[in-house]
Amino acid sequence: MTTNRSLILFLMLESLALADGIELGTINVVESQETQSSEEVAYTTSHKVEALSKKSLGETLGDYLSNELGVDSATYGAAVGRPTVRGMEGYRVGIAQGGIMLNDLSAMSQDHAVGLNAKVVERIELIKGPASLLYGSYSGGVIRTLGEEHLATLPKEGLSLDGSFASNSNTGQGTGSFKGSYASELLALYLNYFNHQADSYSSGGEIVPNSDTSSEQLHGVVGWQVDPNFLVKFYADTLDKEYGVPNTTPQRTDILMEQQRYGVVLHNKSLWGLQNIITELQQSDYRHYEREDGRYDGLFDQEQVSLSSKFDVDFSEETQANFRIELISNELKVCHEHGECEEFSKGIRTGAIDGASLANYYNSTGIPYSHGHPMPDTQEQKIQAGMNLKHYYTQSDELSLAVSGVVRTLTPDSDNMQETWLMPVSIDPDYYNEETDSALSLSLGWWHSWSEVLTSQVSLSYLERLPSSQELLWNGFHHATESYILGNRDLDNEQSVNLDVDILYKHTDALSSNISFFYYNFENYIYQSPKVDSSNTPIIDPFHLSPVWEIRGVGATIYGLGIEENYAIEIGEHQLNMMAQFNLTKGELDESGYIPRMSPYNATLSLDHTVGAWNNNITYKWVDESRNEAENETHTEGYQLLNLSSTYQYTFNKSSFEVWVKGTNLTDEVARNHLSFLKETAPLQGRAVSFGVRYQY
Amino acid sequence: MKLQAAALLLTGAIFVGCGGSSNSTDTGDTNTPIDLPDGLTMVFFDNVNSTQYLYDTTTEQYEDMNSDSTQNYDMTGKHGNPVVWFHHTDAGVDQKIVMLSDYFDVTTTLLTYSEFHYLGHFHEENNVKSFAAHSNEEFNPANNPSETKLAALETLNADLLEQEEIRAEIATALPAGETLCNFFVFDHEEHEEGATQESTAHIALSGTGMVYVFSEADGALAQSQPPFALEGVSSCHSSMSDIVKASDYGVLIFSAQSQKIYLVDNHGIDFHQHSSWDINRFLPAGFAPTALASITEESTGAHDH
Repeated sequence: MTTNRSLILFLMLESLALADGIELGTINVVESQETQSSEEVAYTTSHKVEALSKKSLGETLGDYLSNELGVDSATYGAAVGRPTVRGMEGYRVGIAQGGIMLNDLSAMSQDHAVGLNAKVVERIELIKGPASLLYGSYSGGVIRTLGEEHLATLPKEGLSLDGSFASNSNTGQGTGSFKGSYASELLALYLNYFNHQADSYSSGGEIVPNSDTSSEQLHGVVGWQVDPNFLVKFYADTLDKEYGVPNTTPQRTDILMEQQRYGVVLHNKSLWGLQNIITELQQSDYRHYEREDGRYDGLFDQEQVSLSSKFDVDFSEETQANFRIELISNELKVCHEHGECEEFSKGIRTGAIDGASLANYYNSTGIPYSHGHPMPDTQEQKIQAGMNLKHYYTQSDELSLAVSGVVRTLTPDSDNMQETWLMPVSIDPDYYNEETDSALSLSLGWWHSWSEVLTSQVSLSYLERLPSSQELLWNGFHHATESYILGNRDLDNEQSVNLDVDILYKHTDALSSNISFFYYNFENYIYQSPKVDSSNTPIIDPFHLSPVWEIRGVGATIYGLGIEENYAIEIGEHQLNMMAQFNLTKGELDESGYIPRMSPYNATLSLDHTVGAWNNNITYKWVDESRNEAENETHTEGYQLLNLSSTYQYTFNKSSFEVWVKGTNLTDEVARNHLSFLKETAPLQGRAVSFGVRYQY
Repeated sequence: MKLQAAALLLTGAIFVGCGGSSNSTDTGDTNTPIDLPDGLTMVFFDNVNSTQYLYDTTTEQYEDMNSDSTQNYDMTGKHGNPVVWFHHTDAGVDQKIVMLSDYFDVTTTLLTYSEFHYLGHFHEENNVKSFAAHSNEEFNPANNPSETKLAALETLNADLLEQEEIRAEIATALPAGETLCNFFVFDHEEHEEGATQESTAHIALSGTGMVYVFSEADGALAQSQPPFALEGVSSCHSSMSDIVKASDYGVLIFSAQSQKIYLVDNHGIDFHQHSSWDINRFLPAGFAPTALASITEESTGAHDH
């Protein structure tokens, strides 16, 4: 695989670099401390990945973040789990590397994995409110991952090593990771490799077929401190992932995914009166195949080039601003043809009437059914700019005003489409026309410290999101989701007014309460809704007997509440941290009814115990049955999860050695995730016991 | 028994009364599985150059049928039109390929030995089945053919005439402006026996390359779904296309215009183009057939040699 070849090459390069006068530097023990969201109220919450990994029930980004207030994971089997934030999913949650949105297709469909393994990044930030507008317009905010290349310093001088292995009794396999760096004062080499292998897992004592996964990712960075003010980091990343889709088809459905990214990040401390300038150029290729019974039925490919620059300006001691501008060019290609999607091809032109078959279906059923490629090749050129202006009135007041604007040119190219499945001009004369659209978003934030114990943060945003090319142009079957998706070429921008309120009350130094409330009102909430006929019966597509999901833009309101209580106490040498969390989310359509796949109410209790070199944790999670179901949405029973972990860390000389055991879903509950399209066939993983070791130098 | 064994034994297979199969078996490109429906023995014929290849979809191997001039199915220098004959016997249905003369028209004259070149089917010897052919000369009255052979010729004529009746019925059902190029009727044997035809699908390929699907109800044919086109097909002539059975739920449509085979099947409500294969993916480059016939071993019963 690509990752294997890259790993060998990178190791060779690193060996060559280290061979010349190797000198071990200072100890670099990776810190495990994280910024607790309970410690402060901020638009950005930052976590070290290692800390998230310890609590995670799985290896997806959704697994890593699902313990955070308001965050859940839209699972699609063991390999796929895109985070949902405050009820927002898909395109409403941005996932960025540095500042550049991931060049994957995970927002498009739940079966598409996120194009990174969380373990390979250094930090993960949850950004909302005005701060998020620097990266685009996302109602659910931005999940910003930071790789080594995004840190404005070289790794600590000398050699650092960090390797770990973990087994999983349920899947029979496990994970392995290696991270190493060698840095001098001016140069640094950094390597991060992650490998995850899992056979199909079991739930309730029964194997979930096709829930296996195999994933590996290699990330390498070379850093050069040109001068004290200027740092350059080159990076390369390759990801390979193969995973089964545990759907209802009798034949195995699986996805083969690969992604390569290359780029350079320039860090300037100051230049021309600007501070903290981060400029990044990235080129990335994403591709995944969808197979059924080994046959290549689907192919998705997206190439992207991005150039971005982020910088700060201090207008005065009280007034600062962050700016970010990005130019993005990408091309999306999609193939659907049974057994014919190992590569892309152009549609044959015979001179026959364009779209004859599609027109026949439209005239007969009112729906322009297609059995060809689901959408034309699509190019996007985007200019996106954001500014977040912050003014400190006093020590206790900060006002933020953020603006984000995007201009996009969308160019569909129908050359790939089969002649007979083209959209005829008689149905839509503008379907394949190039179009330029724009969106403007604003956000106003007020952070206020009422007293030493009470802090609040309020943001009110007007957000506009451009419909994605898939939402506009997709018309066809999607194998892995077993659904027929009917896009809407006439979709307007999604518009919403978002109110976020966060309150932190520190009862004592030991006890704190964090309350997060949100109320999002959408003028044009774009989502997939089951298409029904005049008698309200769900429509099925004539080719595969699959449900037809229609992309709609409707009025909707999503609101909810998150409460987190934290209590810390020391009893002798024992440090105890207790956490209780409750999440409530509700989504309603203006036209009556609920929005599908909203997180059920849930609560988590956690007790963390540290004494000496030992750290123990017990977590209990309760998830309610689905109560606010959309029309024709199936019911999901509630469930409870009990997880235990124990870690022993031994430090000696320049090294530390860690051993842990972790038990998840210890009661072997058959837990079905209401957010998952595959909840019937793919419950969450049953009881599993993991053993792990970690060595750091 | 799968056709695989039979195909492997095509080399050197000789049987009494039928022309043996060729002794040269070539292997197609096996790097990428072709994945045509298993169990089919397909005969591709180029009526311009008289080249002819047999392709086994299970083993994914092809064979030059004109490589051995002693074989009854050798078509070197001849012109023809292969058709599939579902020969009903007391023991079941014996699927046969009849290489008609390309000028033969059953509506003007009945078929005699001089209007076809060979009659091919599966022959069983030592529990191994392989494709072989009878020469038309075996049906020549001058050679004193058996009563069984003469009866078979009569049955074949009746079947060809019935096919023409169905052709006329479907042609009438096509929308104005469309002509019938080719057709296939599922459960043809039931039709022949006068069984209920209410759900029997009639697949029709029109002169403009559109595929129409009819079902029979109340004695008339009616379109059961919107018509659709095949990729790369904008016109059709009966001598440049064919429709053969792929399964109980699908057909393979061959188009000389696009040099493709299309699997048109129904695993939902409507028939549609499920897959397509370029001919040159599994047959020699440069070979451009004009016709296709395909049979399987299934329900093969006793037959006359």
